[in-house]
Amino acid sequence: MTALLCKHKDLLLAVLAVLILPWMLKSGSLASEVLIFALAALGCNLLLGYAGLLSFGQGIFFGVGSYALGILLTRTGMPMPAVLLTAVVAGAVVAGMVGWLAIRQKGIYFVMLTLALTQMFYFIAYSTPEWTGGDNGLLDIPTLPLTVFGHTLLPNKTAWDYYVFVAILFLLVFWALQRVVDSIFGRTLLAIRDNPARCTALGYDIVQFKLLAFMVSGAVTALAGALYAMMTGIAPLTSINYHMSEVILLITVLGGTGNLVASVLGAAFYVIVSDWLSYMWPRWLLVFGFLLMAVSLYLQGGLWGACKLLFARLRPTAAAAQRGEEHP
Amino acid sequence: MTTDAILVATDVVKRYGKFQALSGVSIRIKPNTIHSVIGPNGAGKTTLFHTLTGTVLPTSGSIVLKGQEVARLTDYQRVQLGMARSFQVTSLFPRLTVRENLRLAAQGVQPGKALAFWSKALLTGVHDDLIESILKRLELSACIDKTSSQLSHGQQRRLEVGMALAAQPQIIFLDEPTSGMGIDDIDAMKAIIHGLRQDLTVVLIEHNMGIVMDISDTITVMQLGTVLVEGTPQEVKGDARVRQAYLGNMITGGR
Repeated sequence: MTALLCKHKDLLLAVLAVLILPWMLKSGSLASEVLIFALAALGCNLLLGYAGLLSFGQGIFFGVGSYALGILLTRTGMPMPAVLLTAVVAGAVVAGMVGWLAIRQKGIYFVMLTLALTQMFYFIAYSTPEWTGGDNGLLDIPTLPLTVFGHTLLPNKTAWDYYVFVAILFLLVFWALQRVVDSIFGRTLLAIRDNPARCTALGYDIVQFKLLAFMVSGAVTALAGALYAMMTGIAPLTSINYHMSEVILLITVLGGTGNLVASVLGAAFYVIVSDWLSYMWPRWLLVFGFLLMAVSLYLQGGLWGACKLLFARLRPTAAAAQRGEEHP
Repeated sequence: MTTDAILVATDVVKRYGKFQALSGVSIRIKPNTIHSVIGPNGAGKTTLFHTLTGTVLPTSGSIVLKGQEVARLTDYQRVQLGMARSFQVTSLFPRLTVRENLRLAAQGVQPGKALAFWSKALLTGVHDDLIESILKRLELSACIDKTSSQLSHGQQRRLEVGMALAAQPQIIFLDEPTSGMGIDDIDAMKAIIHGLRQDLTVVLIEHNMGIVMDISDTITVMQLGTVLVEGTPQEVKGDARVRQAYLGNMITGGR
């Protein structure tokens, strides 16, 4: 039993987060937002923490998910699960194209390419108002209940109803991504991150691996975008702009890379603290500027790294035992 | 006589901008031999290695491996055809265990399987026999569960050779396997390389003339991007051009 708990301790922490949020927060929308941004950060973490790719293109996939869901829900009668699935596939396909272009370059040029593509997709969305609503965004997106063969499984009427829906999807994705990072593929990604030259010499075509990582990341991020659009009822232009990429990266780095729970922690921290700060001070984003500086200078493991340090201080022996089985 | 060589390179040229690192190198490597490439720094030994293994593509020339033209193939494609290499500067996965280092190396010849993002990583089980036999050969069996960063320099150099062996190649390229090693480690490495000859073909860059002269079947001496002399250790030792060019005392031991 203990072994089973240890094996799935990250998933347990995610379940714990899902259970704690309603108890901590008064607003169901805020709680859903935490999980939605946690999803986006999970996708970013797969690239940054496991494949070693600093992508400024995450906003593209978030936006594509938002618009795909918005367009399909306002113009077609497709059932909601099929719409979500289509948004996820659209995210993966667009990520495949973005990745195919960007992976050709390494380091700073890779980053620049993702940045350039983000700007490009923003202007595509801006200049096709018949599809995206342009500056105003895509309005009147309905929040549909989850029904199977006429039975309503989840009504999605109130904010807390919707939280349950998001929470279920979040846990499914968390479990799936945990499985992906523990797979042969995930282990090979880590090896590619640490020593790409050796991986090539061993016979791996590293472009293929990075591309697959991009597509998984794009799919997860698009799901986040789609869920966000359905919650707010609008797919605004801000969901695909450069700032969205920035926020997703900020959350991922604040939380810490290379561990999936860290992204959940980062999302909770960012969403809750920014909600609280925005009541008090209109220039609240400045605070995150300082926080990012602090993390970059003194705490590169992010909040998750800080928690681990704290844990090690409090229980040195347990932490030492834990170190053995940790991800390298 | 072209059929008996496992690898035939003809007129290989490599240019970096205006600088010509290799100007028309031809080399024939016979199976189950140890073929050493020597020469002073800057002679183009490592560049020749890079072009033969595909780490860089040659500017022009032909490279035929087991009857197949491979000059335009990338390094990861050539691995699938039975070629593997080690690096002059140790290039391992420092945070992974010795076992997983070798597992990754063995998996490299079936890279498609490593794309399986839904199958559990088989950290033990699949390549166990291969990994154990390599570790035994390299006398590293006791280190299997250490991370590669915990190994001594000599052990890391041996694992570096093991990484190339794990692909079960027919021809293996070793780039200065003894670099930076202590005297005891050097003898062990020499025995390991000599033992490889039974199963596969070894192409070796090495600065330690003791090793080169003792275990090589053929030696190619390079100078300024061309082949100066090629022959058995005896022929190379006796060659006036080699003495005159640069080796002199190093080869003949000062006599």
